[in-house]
Amino acid sequence: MKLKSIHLKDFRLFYGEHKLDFSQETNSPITLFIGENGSGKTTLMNAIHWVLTDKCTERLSESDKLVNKDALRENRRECWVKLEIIDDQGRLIEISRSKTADHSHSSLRAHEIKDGNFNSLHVDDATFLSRFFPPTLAQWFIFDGEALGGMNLSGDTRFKAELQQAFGFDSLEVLKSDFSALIKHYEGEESKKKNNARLDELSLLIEQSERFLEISKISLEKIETEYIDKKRLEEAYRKDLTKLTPSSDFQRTKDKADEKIKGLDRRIEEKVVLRANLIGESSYALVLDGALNKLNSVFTIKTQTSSLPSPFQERLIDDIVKSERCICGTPVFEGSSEFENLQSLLSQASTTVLNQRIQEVRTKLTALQISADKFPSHWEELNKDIFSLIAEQAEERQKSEHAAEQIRKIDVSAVRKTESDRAEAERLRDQALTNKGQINGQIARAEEDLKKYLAERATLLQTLKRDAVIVSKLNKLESLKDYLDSEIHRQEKEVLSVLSDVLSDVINKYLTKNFRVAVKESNYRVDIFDSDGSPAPLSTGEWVLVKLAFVATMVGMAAKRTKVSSVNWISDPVVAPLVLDAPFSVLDSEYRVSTAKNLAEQVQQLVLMTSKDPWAGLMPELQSKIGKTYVIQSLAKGPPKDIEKILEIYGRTYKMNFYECERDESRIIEVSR
Amino acid sequence: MSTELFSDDYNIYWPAEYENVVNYLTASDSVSGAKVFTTNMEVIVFAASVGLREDLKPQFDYKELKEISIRTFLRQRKKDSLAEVIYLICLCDSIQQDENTDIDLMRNAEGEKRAIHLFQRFAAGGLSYLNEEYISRPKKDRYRFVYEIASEYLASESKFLNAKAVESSKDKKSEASLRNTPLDFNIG
Repeated sequence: MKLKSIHLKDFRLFYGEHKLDFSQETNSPITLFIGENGSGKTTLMNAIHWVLTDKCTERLSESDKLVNKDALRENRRECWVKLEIIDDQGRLIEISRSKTADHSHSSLRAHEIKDGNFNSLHVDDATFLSRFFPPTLAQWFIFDGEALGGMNLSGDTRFKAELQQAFGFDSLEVLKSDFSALIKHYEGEESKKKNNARLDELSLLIEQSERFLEISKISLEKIETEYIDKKRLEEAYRKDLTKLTPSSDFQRTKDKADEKIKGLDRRIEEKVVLRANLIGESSYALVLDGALNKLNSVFTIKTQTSSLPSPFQERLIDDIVKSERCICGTPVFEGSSEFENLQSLLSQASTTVLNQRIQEVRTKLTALQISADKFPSHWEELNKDIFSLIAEQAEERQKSEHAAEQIRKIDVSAVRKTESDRAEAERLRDQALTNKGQINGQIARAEEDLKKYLAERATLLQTLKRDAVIVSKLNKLESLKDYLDSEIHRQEKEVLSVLSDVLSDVINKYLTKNFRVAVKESNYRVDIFDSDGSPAPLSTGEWVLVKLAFVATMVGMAAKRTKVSSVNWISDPVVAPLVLDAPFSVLDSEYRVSTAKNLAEQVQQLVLMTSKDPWAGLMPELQSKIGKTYVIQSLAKGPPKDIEKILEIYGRTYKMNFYECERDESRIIEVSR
Repeated sequence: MSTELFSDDYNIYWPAEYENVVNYLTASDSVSGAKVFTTNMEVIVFAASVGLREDLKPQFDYKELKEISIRTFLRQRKKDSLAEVIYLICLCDSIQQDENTDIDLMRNAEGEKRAIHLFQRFAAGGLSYLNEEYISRPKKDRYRFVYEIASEYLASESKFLNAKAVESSKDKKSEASLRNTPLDFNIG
């Protein structure tokens, strides 16, 4: 398929009608569109995509809003796009699609244009377009630079299936299954003629097994796709969660700080109690301190001068009473006045208790003085401790408040929802994996059974007299089927080998690395090896180059434009143009030229959208490959701004943006050399 | 004769009109539960000490009195006994009066009674002083209240130099604001 022209009306940015032709030159296959960001390059790419698939690309914003806003204001509620293509038979076909703004009405029409006449073609949305361009392959032919990042060459069931479709192997598989059906038919006929119950039974079992296997393999494919989708989704949610700050970390910090605050509270309380006790116990010692010093001095002097009561005075009086004679010689008899005086003196002179009390009082005095002396240092120490604990607590309080604030800032509901979505994706992924395992098991068992049935039937048939005519037909069909199988296998090997060689060539030539590419047969995974045969790492930019080269090679091989070797196709690969929107934006600048050259060499037709700046570096290399050039200009209603962009091309100057226009819209003008 | 500090079960009396300040000084802090004085007796001893230093010993002719048994002063453990302080206060006073210690206060019952009476007068005088302070000063913690009164009677500057420096260097409010809790600064 090749694109001839596109005619669109009121499609998104494009107000009114716009018609452009694509380059049809074999040696200048590139149709170039140069426009700045927001000018409409992606819209134009999507116009092509939309006509062919009824969908816009994933990255297009507000993809449900198709009708131009100014057209809507003027009550034009429908947009359309007409795409003229040349199919593989050389027929000129116009495919047109329309849709109303509210999506209530849409249409798809097709006409073959022959000798100026428009002959209507029967259009069945589901299958009509697949003849020219399988919608499932749209991502391989029409994409923007950013999509390259998501393009996956790591090999999975869907990847392989799409490539097989692109290479046209699917149609060969259909042919194979037609052969299988015929074989089954003749085998069934033969079984009926044999009238052998076991043979009939085996035929039925074989048919059931084959049907079961067919259905199971389709289910397996779906489950594998489901598994990959859910795995990617779960990974995407997981990535989103890492961006959403988890509240759990802050909660942990807060809990730890709160725990410390509680502990510090207890310690502060203990110290505060000790402080209160200390001042209480020391209070009178402090108050009396000066006075006690003086008292102590007096006690000391009295002790030194023996002025304190002597314990011997009591003994003396006791002796006088016992001896009934005073030391002065006066008799002291019991009952006499002298005796009474002495008794009175005794009671007054008794010093035991007094001395005891003096001793206790002096002991207390010393204790109070010591208490007063020690008080300042104890007091200071306690206050220091309390202050330090309070300061530590204040710090922890700050930490706790900061964590609480962070928790408040986190949109907990968003985190919860994302986590819930992630968990659900994980559950579905695991479920798909389990189902895959189960189905694989069932398939293995069914294949085993089928082998047994086929072997038993073959053995049984050998023992029975067979219908020669049917046997002959069966043998031919089996041979054809085997031949087709081997040819498909051969073609697949050849295609993958050429693909590997071309990609290796690209890497060596454009990345200047001595690496080798191998496309694995089982899943079409693209592996890169260094000269030692070890897996070689490529940077993100280098992978983008490889991906673009992969697509270009795939497309080029299908169009029989590969330089390495031509594949001897027995299938009909999908031949379609490449429509690329800003592919160089994601490429390292050093690879842009080589990529562009490689693309131009490989593809049959290339529609290339780019902005001004990358183009400047590429022009010298690609100029000779360009068949048509268009500039997309941005028209704006508003007042002039300082931003004015100018494009110099083919010796002429073109403005890229205009102000004070009637409306916001894009305009496409063809520029010629 | 008993070798106890006091030969009889005396009661120490104090004026009931100062019950507020006594209750204030024996109450717990509402948040920390800290107590400066556990018993009324300790408050009376403190008050008597203040009365001595302020030379406040009014005539003891109060209408309503509260009593504390001397046994309370003596306590269960000898080292905790505050009964000696009754004598110490009286002895300090005697030195202040005539530079001589009145040892006879401790000699016999008569002396004991004199000592107790004098102690009561000083206690009453001290309580009136504390009451004035309690009424006039802004509400603050009990520990600070007692500390500020006690520290006014510095025997020597150097003893309290560090303590006062620590106290004055701190912003008294900052402790409460840092804690942000009414732990220590409520007079509850």
